[in-house]
Amino acid sequence: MDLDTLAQQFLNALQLGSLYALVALGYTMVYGVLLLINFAHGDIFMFGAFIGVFGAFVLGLPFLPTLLLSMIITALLGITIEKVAYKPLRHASRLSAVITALGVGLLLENGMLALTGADPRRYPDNFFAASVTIGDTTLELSVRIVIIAVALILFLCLYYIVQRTKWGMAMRAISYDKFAVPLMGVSQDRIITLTFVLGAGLAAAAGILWGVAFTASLSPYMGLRVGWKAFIAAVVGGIGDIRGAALGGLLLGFVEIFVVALGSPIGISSSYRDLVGFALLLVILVVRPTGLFGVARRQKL
Amino acid sequence: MPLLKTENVTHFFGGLKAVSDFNLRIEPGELVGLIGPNGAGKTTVFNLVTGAYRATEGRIIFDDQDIVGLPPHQINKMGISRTFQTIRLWNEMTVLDNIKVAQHGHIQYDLKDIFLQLPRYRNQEQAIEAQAMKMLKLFNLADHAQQPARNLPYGQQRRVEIVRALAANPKLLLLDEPAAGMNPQEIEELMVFIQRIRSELGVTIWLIEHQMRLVMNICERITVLDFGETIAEGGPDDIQRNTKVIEAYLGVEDEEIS
Amino acid sequence: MAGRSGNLFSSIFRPVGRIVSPVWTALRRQLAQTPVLAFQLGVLVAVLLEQWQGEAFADLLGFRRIPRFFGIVDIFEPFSDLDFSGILAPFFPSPNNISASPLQDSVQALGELATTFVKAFFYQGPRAPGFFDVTFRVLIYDIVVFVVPILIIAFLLRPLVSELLRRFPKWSLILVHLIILAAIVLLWGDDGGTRELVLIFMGINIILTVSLNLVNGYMGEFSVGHAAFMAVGAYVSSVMTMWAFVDDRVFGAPALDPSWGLPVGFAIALFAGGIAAAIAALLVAFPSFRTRGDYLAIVTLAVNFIVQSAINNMEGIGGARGLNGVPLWSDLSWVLLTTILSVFIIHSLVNSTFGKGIIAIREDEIASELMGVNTKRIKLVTFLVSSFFAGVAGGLFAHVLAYINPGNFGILKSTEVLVMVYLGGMGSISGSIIAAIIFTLLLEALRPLAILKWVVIPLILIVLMLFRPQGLFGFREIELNWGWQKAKEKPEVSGATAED
Repeated sequence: MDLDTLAQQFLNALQLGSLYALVALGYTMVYGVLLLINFAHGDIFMFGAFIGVFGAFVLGLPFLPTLLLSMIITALLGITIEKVAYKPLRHASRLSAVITALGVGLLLENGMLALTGADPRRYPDNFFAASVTIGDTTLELSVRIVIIAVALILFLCLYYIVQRTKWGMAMRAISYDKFAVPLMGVSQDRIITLTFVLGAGLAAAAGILWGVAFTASLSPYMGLRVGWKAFIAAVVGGIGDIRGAALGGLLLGFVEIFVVALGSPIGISSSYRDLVGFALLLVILVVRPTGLFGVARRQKL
Repeated sequence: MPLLKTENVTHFFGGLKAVSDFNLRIEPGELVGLIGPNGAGKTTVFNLVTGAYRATEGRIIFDDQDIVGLPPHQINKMGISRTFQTIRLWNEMTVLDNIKVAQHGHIQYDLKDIFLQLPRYRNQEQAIEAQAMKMLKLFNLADHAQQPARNLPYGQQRRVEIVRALAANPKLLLLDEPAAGMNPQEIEELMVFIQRIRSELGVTIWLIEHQMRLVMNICERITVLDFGETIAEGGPDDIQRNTKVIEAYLGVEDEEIS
Repeated sequence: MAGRSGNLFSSIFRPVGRIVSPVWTALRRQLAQTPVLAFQLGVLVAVLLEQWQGEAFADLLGFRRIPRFFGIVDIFEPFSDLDFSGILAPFFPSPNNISASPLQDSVQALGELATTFVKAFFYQGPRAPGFFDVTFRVLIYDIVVFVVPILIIAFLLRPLVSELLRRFPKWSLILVHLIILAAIVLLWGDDGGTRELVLIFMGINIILTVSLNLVNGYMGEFSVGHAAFMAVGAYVSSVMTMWAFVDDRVFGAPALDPSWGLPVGFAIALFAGGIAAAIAALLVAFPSFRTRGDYLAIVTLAVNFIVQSAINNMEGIGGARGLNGVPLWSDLSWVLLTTILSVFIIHSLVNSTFGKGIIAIREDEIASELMGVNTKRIKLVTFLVSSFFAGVAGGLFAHVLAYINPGNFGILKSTEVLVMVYLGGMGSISGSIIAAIIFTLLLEALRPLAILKWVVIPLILIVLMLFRPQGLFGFREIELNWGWQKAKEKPEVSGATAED
């Protein structure tokens, strides 16, 4: 493999990994706050991508406004799901909520298929302006670089919110002690709402970027595999920690791309991608059961 | 020969020394107390002896065998059984099932016997059930046998927990604050209860307790812990007069020591 | 639940209730006092009755054939033309099908849909009756052919059956129950068609659900990759039977005398499939039981993908194209027998003192270990037993489909099993059985709805979880009046359905 291909593959991996990371962030935040594996999250990602179709074709919006619109609408969906399906179960067994999440996921993907039909969809050809004009010079931008940049900016925004704002700190605090936070004058409901807003918003952005990156992939079931994989990425990173989710996502992206890139010359078919990827993640979990950033909590006797 | 002997048992949590150089001998048939202010490391000692924590240093000899590093269920099988500071019954299970499961260490049948319903399985199940009912009758709990443990009132749950610990047929019974949350009358009953266990079942008893009346009345020998260190050991009268002990308790629980 | 119903409901239903409830209470008491065996005989008679006169009666009611599965398949047939896709499609267009005025298109589609909907409910045409019409006739059919004969026979035979139940030892009575159950299932279901197929899937689903409940319900862990173990069992048993007894494209001529295939070869293959699944589980258990919590979920999830992907890449056993030519050996009697055995074994396990250690681990793992329960060993054993039965179910599954591919054993299959477990309730074998039956029937009944089926099912699941988070029978068993032990004081029991 020459240096140029290596660089290309590196970009591919970074692109795929940052998309996984954006989805994984939503998993990890919801888990951190509610201890709920939100299995509907992959389908929220799908919903975001579909809102992109709506924004681009029906409203005729360009890329960035579509992205924002999708993030807002999908965030509303996230809040609705939380209020309708998860909130009533907050005091029931944890598993009832997980099963409800599975149900919500199935409902979203099949509902979307039932209501919109099975026509193949993709974004308009001129949707993503890959050039920026500054003064007289026109800068051609690679799609991948923009995707990576958008993902990075979103991650930094999130990191700022979580690390520096009062709400973000409350969000982190609640995963340690859910009874203490309300005592500090921060409403638990609001934090949960914020968590779903952020998680769903990021998932929506990932959905649109995904549709831009892999043009023929918009389908009601697109969130299924991506969702499961992002969940695994979140766990490998150490579920509950946003740096972990980002790292886990990137790691998964790199493993998947490079299994194919390095494997094909030596006769490993690309269909081994999932096998190797997941096996590697299992190995990490065996070595570090709490994930890369996870901290083992001592069980009190 | 002592039933239990600890030699310089020391335990760290991270860098924090929770128990240091703990030395104790318990002879068969004794009723021994372990007291000390909150956070003195008493429960940690129990956790070390029952294998919940692994001692960082030192040896714990039970029945002539070093038990440090053995898994808890095996230590339980060898004859050390315990109760917990906060009740830890299997709440959704019936009282009877709680007592039955506590005999797990004595099960000799295997999966094949269960699946084929062989006589070995049936006979042992009958024996386990009979033993459990016998224990419940002995301690006047038979009426509650079929109720889920969580449905019992607090005091009864405490008793069930003690009976559960006894169901394993232990040589040494560790009671972690058995009187916690009880009113004076219940404590009175508990004292009788504990003495009955020793006289009727011949079990050696080692207990942690804050209720000084109970400790001073029924324990023959008492160890006092403070900040993980043994500060006194002796009979109830010696302990009550010991200046170090009074100091350790002063301002904390002085009303109890007097 | 009673507290939830509003005033409107009670004002409507209270007067009705005043008349109906004494009758209902009396009926329930009667039902509770009637032993299961009497009901079984009633069902047997009803099944014979249907075979004798069912066709004629169905004809009388205007059905072209005997209503499928007590009519539940027929009543949703009118909805097969529903198409919701026009409603939102204009807003989410594909590039070559962009609508000029999406709102108008959508409203128009909505109008068309409403018409179809109303038609589906009431009247579709002379040859296609509406939902209410069909439901009404189905109810009549079921009441006349099943409900009434069953009740009459059960009540008539009650004294006789009670007498028998007192006279004979328990083991012989269990045998009688099983024989009559087998007679009913085989007489009614062995039609070589839909009935048989649905009953077979029902049996397989029962095995899957009960076995997963062992881990997720009784032990309180969260395993989400049951289909992986099913896949291992399916492939191992299929490869064995195909290689040994069948002339096929993958493995060529049979290696052994094909006449040994049934029953010995198949039994061995199923068992081997189960063992292989248990071995796979052993590999999974090693990393996942080191920490508690959701790590079993993540590991089993990953394993589900790994197994699927691994089979995809094994060209020797068909790879992604799948394995074709698996002998069609899973007939109704095989499935019935295996199901009964599986349920019996798991039931014995959780009712033994050893098995109650599993529940103790769920309640308080640390306390269990300290009280003498070898938690590591029990967790491992439970997981292996659970996976073993998943493997056996996989073996049966492969030998009824004749063609399997890795796609059969994806995360969606695992989800299905999870849904059944939580629908029935954690820690309840009877709940799992009921849930597997309901779910299988639901899948069959909603088949006419096509994709909408997968909208309706999650909706039911969500609503169920909101109002009954513990599932239908969480942590308790349905008590039936078997007649050989003294019935409990509370007349809580009824024939096939037990209510809260």
